[in-house]
Amino acid sequence: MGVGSMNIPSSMSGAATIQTQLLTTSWPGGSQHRVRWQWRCQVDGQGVEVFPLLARTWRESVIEKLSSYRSLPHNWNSYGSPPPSTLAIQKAIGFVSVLLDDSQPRPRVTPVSGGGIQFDWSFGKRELEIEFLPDGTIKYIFSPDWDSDGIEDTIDSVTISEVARLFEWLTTV
Amino acid sequence: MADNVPIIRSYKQAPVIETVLSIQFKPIPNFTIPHFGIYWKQTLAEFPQSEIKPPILHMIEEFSRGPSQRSSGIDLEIPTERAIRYWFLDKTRNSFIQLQQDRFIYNWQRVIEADVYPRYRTTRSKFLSEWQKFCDFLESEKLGRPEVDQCEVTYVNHLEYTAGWNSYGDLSKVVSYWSGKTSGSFLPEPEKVNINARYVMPNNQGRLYVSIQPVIRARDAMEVLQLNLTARGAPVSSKTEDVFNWLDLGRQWIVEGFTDFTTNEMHKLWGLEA
Repeated sequence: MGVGSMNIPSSMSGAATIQTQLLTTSWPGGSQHRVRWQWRCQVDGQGVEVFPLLARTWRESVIEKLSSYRSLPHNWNSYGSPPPSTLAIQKAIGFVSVLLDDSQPRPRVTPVSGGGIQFDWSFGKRELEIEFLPDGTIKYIFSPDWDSDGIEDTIDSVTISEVARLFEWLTTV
Repeated sequence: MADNVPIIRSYKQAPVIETVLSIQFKPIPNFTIPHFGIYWKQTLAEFPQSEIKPPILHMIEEFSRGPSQRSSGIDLEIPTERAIRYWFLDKTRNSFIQLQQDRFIYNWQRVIEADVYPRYRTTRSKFLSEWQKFCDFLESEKLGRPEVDQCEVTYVNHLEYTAGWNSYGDLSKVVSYWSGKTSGSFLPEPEKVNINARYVMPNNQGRLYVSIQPVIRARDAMEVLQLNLTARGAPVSSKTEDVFNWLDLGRQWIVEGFTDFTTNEMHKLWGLEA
């Protein structure tokens, strides 16, 4: 089990620490060992999990944007799509708050038809898409160049090391 | 010990989503990792789930230069991996005990919207019972009585934007402390507001910390305004009666502080009772 912490500028108790926690358990199947993650953002001693705003980072604005998807209406795209599911929003917020950091490239974040949320990054001809599906599963697609259909995989969870591997692939020509 | 909780103001529908009662003591040098397991075994029936957490720093309110934060002395004597905190949770996760080498904490939290805040009298009574059991456990393991150096009470409130206000331009309808006025007319209404304030209790009995901070709540990904109040200070002695007298004082400061910090309009909305 991994435990970490990050400093947040304005905690009320004088203990300005927000704790994050990764719960690691074996991932069944697949050729790689993976771990499940859960996110925790808690002021010292508290149980209720929150992500503080006003930290002035790109992650904060992305999280705020994700939260705002709760109020998207049905048929928000004029094609009859439901808004992103609460589970997809929770997973996406967890992904941004725990698995990304502000030194990494900012993703483009958009709701997608069917109730999911898509993150995408591009570097040169390479593109990476991560989609949080309405049922909480995660789909990612690597596209090495514009002519390729890309490589697709669907998983239940993603880890810090896996995110690092994805960004390494994206930014290494 | 008499359950003589002072009668103070209360609210029928307080926006409280979590309360934390905490007793901090000098690190118990011989309290080792196996003791967490022995203690848990005694409380397992009621608190069957556990989670490991990093320890909370040892906090002391000092009145010459503000609060101080220091690692518990035990860090200097034993390997870092032994400085841990455990949560022992009940089945519903509504209440849990937090234990580390220098702290004993009892939390109640709202897990689902329908959960009803059990009121201070109930949580205090439960905490008193668990504290006494913990002290008995320490004695039975020949670890001595805890030397209490600080007590702490925290209330976390979530103010949803639709209940009495809609934007930060309306914040003065919620927080009596905030006027929202500017000297000129250049600035628009704020998009977000973050407030931190600190108060000293008479005779340096402790401090009250009040903060208002916009947060995204993990449970439902909803943005809310989190209003935290924490009272922290030293009891007169380590005797259980003195410790709980301080917790009563801390809770009184939180409730009265909450009332002073927020507006009469919101008090009506929350059903101020006395």
